[in-house]
Amino acid sequence: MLGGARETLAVALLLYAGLKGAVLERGRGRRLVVGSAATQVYFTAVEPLLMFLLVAVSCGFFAIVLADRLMRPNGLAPYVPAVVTQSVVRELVPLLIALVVIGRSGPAIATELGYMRVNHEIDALEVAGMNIDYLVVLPRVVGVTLATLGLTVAMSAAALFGGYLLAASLDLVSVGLRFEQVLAALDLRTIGFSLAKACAFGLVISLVNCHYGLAVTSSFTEIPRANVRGAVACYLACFVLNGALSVLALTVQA
Amino acid sequence: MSEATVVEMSRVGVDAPTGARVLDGLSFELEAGSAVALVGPVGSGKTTVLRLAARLAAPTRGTVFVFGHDVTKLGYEAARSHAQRIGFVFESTGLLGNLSVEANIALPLRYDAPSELVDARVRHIAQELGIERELAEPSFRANASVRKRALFARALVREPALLLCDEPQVGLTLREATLVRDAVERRRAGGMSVLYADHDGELAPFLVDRLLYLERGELRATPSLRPTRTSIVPLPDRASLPIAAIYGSES
Repeated sequence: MLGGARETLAVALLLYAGLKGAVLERGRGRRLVVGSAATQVYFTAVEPLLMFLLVAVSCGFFAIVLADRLMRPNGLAPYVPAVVTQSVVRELVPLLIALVVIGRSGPAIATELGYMRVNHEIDALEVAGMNIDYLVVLPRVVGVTLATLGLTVAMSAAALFGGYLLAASLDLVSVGLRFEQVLAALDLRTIGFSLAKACAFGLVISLVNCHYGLAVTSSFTEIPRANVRGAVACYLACFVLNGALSVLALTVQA
Repeated sequence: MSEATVVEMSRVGVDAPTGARVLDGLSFELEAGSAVALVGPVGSGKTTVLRLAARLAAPTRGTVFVFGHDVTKLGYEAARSHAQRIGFVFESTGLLGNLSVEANIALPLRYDAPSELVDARVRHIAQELGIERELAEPSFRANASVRKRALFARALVREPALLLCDEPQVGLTLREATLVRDAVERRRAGGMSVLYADHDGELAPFLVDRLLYLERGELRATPSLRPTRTSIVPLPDRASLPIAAIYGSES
């Protein structure tokens, strides 16, 4: 429990140090930071975009078909669009993105930073007078967070539009359910909570993995351990955050 | 501490996270323009001394002054300025694997120097060290000799006032080491100080004024070699040393 609190504090301090570094550096090395953040966005969101979109279409398809088939016979047809948009956009999409990013980009960050530690690359940057929190941590945090936000928008659109189109083309949705209805059920609150989750997950995944990667000291055998610890901490943190934000969304809605 | 002293360590102790003593009661001074070699077996704390001077490690006890400032009490800008006056040559690692040799050498300059200056200075130091043909090569593909010279080039490209160098001759042939030695000596003539760390004292062809012998984190002997400009500075014959325990408990 105490260890968990200490790790949480260390992760929060890492974000603080990165932001403080950005203020203190007063724009020095901005090109390096922007380039590094852009690379992170590419690896997290652009490179695996097709996989994300296929997952989104499949997820949207099943949500639409199941909601339509299970709710309509019970006289709940007017609620189908709201159930679909809220379950897909607010619940499924951010969590699916988090799960994929934890399994894909998280270990990549922890491994890269762990390797940089063992190979003295971090030391080399420090000796060159560079601020590690600003130059190494911040671009990864910004990159992953922007990527999860962008993926949330793209996946939500793909899930609703692609899922509906697939279901309709297979003649699996009832005539009464039109895409305009699904779209109309998408309110700003749902979008806001979805983006808030994406932002929180992006911050947590990037910071936790930067923390464990930089915690590697001198041996390559520490790197896989940093990966595992980072992944476990991210899963735990993201599920807790997801639950808390969902409960908050339901409370606000009520 | 006089103005001519670049590094002054006083009763410095460093403990590892396990509690083991890495350094204990180490005191020494490095004067401006001089070259000192820390010699001692693996694990004697030589690299830690270099890391202390570069602010890559902090002392558990004692004080470390570099350029007249306590390195543990530097503010943000002072720490940056401290780093800019230091060049650090790692033993064999330390190049950023995803960058070319050229980008690695330019690294300390790219952060805040005007870009037109960077290329000229990188090419100049690469020529001095004989690696101009390897500049475009990815650093992970470079051989040990090119990597070591790139590490020297990166450390020297900013014309530091203090060069900290771990195992200077590792990976270099005598001819290559001589090129590096000449580049270092040209800068020493301009006032640069050098602190080498070496495990066996076979520093040829690098030049030193003084040897400090470290063992288990303690300064065992300071063989007062006459300041030398000869090409080879061997570890003095065991029998001639003031203490007999230069290699452990052997007499």
